[in-house]
Amino acid sequence: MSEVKIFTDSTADLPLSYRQEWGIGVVPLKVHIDGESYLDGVTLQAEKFYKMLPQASQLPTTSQPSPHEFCEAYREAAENGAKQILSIHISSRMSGTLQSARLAKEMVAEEGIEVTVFDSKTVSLPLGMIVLAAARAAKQGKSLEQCVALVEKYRQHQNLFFLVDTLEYLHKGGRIGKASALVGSLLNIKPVMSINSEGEVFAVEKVRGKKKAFRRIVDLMSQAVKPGSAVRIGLLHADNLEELEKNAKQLIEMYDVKEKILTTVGPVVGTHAGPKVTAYFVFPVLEEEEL
Amino acid sequence: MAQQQINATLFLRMMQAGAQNLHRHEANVNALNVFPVPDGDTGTNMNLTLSAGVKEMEKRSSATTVGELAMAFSKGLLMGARGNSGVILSQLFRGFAKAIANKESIHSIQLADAFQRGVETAYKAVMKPVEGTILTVAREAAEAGMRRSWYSEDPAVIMELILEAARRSLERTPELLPVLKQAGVVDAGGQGLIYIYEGMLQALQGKVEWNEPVQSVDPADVLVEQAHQKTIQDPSEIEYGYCTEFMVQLTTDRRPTEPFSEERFRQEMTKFGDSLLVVADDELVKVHIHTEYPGDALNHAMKYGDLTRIKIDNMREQYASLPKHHPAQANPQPVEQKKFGLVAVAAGEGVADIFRSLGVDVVIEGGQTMNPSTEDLVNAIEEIAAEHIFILPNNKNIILTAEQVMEVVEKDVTMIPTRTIPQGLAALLAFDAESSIDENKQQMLQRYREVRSGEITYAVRESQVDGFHIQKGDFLGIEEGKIVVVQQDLLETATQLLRKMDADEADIITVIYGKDVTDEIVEQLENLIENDFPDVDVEWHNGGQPLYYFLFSVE
Repeated sequence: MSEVKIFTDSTADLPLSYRQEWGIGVVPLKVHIDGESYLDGVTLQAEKFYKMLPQASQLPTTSQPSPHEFCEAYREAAENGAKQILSIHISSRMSGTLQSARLAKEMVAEEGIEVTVFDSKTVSLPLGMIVLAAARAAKQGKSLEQCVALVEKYRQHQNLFFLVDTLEYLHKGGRIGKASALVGSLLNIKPVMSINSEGEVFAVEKVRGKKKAFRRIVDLMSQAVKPGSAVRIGLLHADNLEELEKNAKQLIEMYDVKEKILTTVGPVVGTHAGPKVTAYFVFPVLEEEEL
Repeated sequence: MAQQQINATLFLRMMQAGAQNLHRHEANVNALNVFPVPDGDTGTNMNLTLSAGVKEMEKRSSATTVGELAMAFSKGLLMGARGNSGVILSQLFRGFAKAIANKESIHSIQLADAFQRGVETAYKAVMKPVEGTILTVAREAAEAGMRRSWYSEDPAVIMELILEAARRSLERTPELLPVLKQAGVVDAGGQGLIYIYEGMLQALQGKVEWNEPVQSVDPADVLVEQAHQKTIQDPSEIEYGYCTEFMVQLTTDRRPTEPFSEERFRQEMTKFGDSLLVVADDELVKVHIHTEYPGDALNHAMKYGDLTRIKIDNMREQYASLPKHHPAQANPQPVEQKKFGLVAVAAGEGVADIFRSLGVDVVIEGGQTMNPSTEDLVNAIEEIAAEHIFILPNNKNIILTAEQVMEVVEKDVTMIPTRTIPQGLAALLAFDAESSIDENKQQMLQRYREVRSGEITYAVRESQVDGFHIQKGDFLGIEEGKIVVVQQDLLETATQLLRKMDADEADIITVIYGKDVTDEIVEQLENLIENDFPDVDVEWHNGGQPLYYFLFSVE
């Protein structure tokens, strides 16, 4: 067991195999559908969620883990020998999860458990890949400070673009920020969405039609990360694997891909992004990294 | 004996006669349009522009100097200008009016000079003057007038020279502009100008036949209207509570009356209140006054004759009942100024809805049917509480008008010269309320050019354009303002146009269908497009636009 234990929450959308391999702790958020509550990724998986979504009489809602739930998780890790805990979470602009983690940190501090809480200012696989980098560093015996420095650096190298089928979900969940001006437009606009350095969702550009929107993503990506460079690629979809794979091919060919993670958007993130989302995430391999 | 000087009355008559003669021949001018599409007719635009100028003059028909009328004429032309030909016409006569703005009356040399000044103004206003148009006709006519202004002291003779030079110039327009030659016509705008000059000459020669009695607006009514616009105020501050209007019949003979002097009467009435207006002729005196004691004012006026058409309103009551002056809003909250406002011109309720859904504050109905006037655009801009306004004209015939607007309004205005509805929509997608003026301008200018626009309409007349022999009633497929398909079948025209626009390589086709298209036709076109361009996203909107069956945007 490494000295530093890495925690995140279920919005990291990190596949189970990675969590197990690198010993990453995940505290689930909750999703509520027609009066029933589910633990994100634990009692409700993405596949089933997207089948339930069209039938739900109302849009599902979500809630953050309680401080108590974080305390339990931190305590269990301490009991299993973790000396320090680095808890990396969804952007505080999108969820109160970080707030719960901070409260829990104060609560367990009295018991002598040391927790560092970190605002990733992002969500889903971009968060997942930051978490994964931290977990790998920790396993290599890196100190907490080194892990935090790495996470800090990774946070600045996020190149995420995503396409939503409809802005309605982001809008209803209040997670849309300035892109809300597009809601209600009679034209079928496919905005190219991203997350800014503040950790908020925003529309990079308004485009007509999905094809054109993806072409724009390729442009934007090649401006952000030089084609040919060594990268990790994260690919996500909400019940839209076919489109994701068709589009992703072009991105994969553009780079020297060292690692590729393709997964689904989990129920909590899916509640706010809506079905049919595809997301493309390129992470340059940093020089000091040992692959 | 010919008149040597043009005085105010004659000047008004000249312009009224010019406007009337143009109006009479409006259809002839329209028929000269080379582009046989059913919109933006030159004759209609010129007629509406000129009559706006003349109407403004008629409101000042009591003016005693040519200069005073000219200023009114200039203002009316500026606000009433519609379409490119209307804007150029307005510039020609605004320059003309400016040259005589200080004159009490004008003689023949001044008349010739005014035409010359008009030409200079118009050439300056048009960014790329095209020869073989109204500009050439006006210029050559004015030059002839200048050369020979010594020839006679009779303005009618000079006007005749000018008119003749204009006619000769018009005949040469096909030599200067190949599209005219191809279509076998002379320039429509130039022809319109000649009709105006003809009317002006007839007035100078005293040969005008008026279609109908010259309608002139009662100047007193205008003054009353102006007085009321000024007097909107807080009811507690109203000192004179009754708006009182009446007429005095000076010809009363059932009882003795005192001799009437307009000057003295006006003096006497001032003691009863304010906003006083007195307009008198030999028989009738029209009076408007705001007074606290209407009875006293009426009694006084009774000395000069019997009263008629008496109207007294309690202004405090009126004020309270006006919705916009409701006490709850007595201290109106200052309307918060947005950073940006958007104005677009579009025809069809469905098209307007699309624009509004993309954040446009005011959609001005028009474009493909009626070109809006400068005033229409000015009103739209002033309606919006925003610091900076972007205008999308969405029609090439409205761009000049929109440019003119920037001279009139105090607000900061940027015009994005969109020539089609698809261009306007594309420009809007680049708009970002959080960005700066310059960034928005740059983005919008770039984005609107990235879209390809197609339109389908029908030919309103026979014509020859770009090698096509067009029969009346043919369907026309237009790409970026150029006729590229001429067919007898609507659906065939539509699919051919889409192919010309490289729709097969596009990401998305947007089809906006007009009000004259049946559901059946739409369905048939849907099948055809599905079949011909299976890989392209297609979006359908009911635009409800007149005259244009389909608008295509290919991206």
